[in-house]
Amino acid sequence: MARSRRLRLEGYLRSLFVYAYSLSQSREDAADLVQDCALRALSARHAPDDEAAYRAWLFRVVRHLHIDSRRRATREVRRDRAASLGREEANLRLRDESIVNAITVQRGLEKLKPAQREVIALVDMAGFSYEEAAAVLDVPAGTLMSRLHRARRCLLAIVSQDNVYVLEPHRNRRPG
Amino acid sequence: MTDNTYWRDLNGYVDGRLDPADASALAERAAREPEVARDIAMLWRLKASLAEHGKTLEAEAPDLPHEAAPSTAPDARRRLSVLSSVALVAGALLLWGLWSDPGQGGLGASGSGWVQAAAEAHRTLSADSLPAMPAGSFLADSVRLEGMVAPDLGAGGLSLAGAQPLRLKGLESPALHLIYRGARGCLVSLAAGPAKAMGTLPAGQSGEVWRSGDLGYLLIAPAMDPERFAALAEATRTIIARAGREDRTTTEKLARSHAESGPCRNV
Repeated sequence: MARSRRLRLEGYLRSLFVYAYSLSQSREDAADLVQDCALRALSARHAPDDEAAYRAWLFRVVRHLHIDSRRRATREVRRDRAASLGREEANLRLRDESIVNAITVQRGLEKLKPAQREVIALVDMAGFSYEEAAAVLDVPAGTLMSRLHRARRCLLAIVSQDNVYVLEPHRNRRPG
Repeated sequence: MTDNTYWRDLNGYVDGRLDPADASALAERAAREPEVARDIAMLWRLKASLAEHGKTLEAEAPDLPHEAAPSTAPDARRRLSVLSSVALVAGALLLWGLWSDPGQGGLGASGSGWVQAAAEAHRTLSADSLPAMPAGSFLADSVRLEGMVAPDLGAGGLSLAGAQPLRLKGLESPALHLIYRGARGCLVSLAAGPAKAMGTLPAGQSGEVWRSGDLGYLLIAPAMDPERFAALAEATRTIIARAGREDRTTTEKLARSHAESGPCRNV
């Protein structure tokens, strides 16, 4: 029983980590969120039998754990520096599609509002359908679609504004 | 059609959520209007980049806790996650075949400097064998160099196509080798590393070598038309020196040199 639970859960750890990272913007916090979620899932008395419902349930657990941890935090790091960029969407005109690459996407995601980053993580990175993502976020599908298309436009606007990409200074981590 | 409706339809189209009639109408419009086709291509590319970034992040996911008991100490879990990240970075470098291996890419030539190693790495490049482009988070965590600038050379028809660390024996920080690819197949290498360990280009090898603060840079594209390369080198130096400030003149020069030149000889 315990083994089958672990096997079932293991298949979702990676996508849960991606989602947790989109929420926390920290690898360590994301790993903590996923492991807390795993502990909760492994010890839960009742988990959904249906696979799609089970996946959505896991993502909701991560989401609620993140919300709880933010409430507990004594200091909240605000990462919505690009909030004002959303107002510039209407004037979006991109010079060249080549500006969209992995580096700019990563940097752009960091600048998105948390709610925008979350919907992109669910649909574009974890592969949820509109309906599945809406269920995780507990919003109507129409709201999800509007939020998604605004988030993508905002991300495109952000990456179109950078001409150079500065790699941040090395802090504490070094390769192996 | 309002701007919002337009973008809603584009998003629905790339997500496969438009009904067949609307999708067909939009496809026909894209065939007539290059701007629409460009916006659709941009969204496709964004989705692909996000999916790729997600795959890179997935590799850092932690293992399941050994026991379901909720007594696992957060600090211990934190240490485990850090260790797994370090292992990931080392594993990726091994995959690239560049981890302290003197037999790969000529990187074992201690004392010759990373400029020579980068030139040799460029010489062995081909359009079909570019090193994988890691997501930005990977670059930032593994081989980032303080003050390094990776310029957008899109105005010159060049987009970032690959990246790899260049490790030399005795060199504490790796140099970073970025590969740009042109729309017509041209390959350009830009490498950066500690200025004090640059070394020099091999005899007979052409390229632009300069210093900016504590970092040295090498730009190399031997197959490129010399006039275009000169313009590219000037633009790259300017962009790096300005570190992000908008410079319309440089962008225009870059675009003009691209438009007025022929394809590289490596095509």
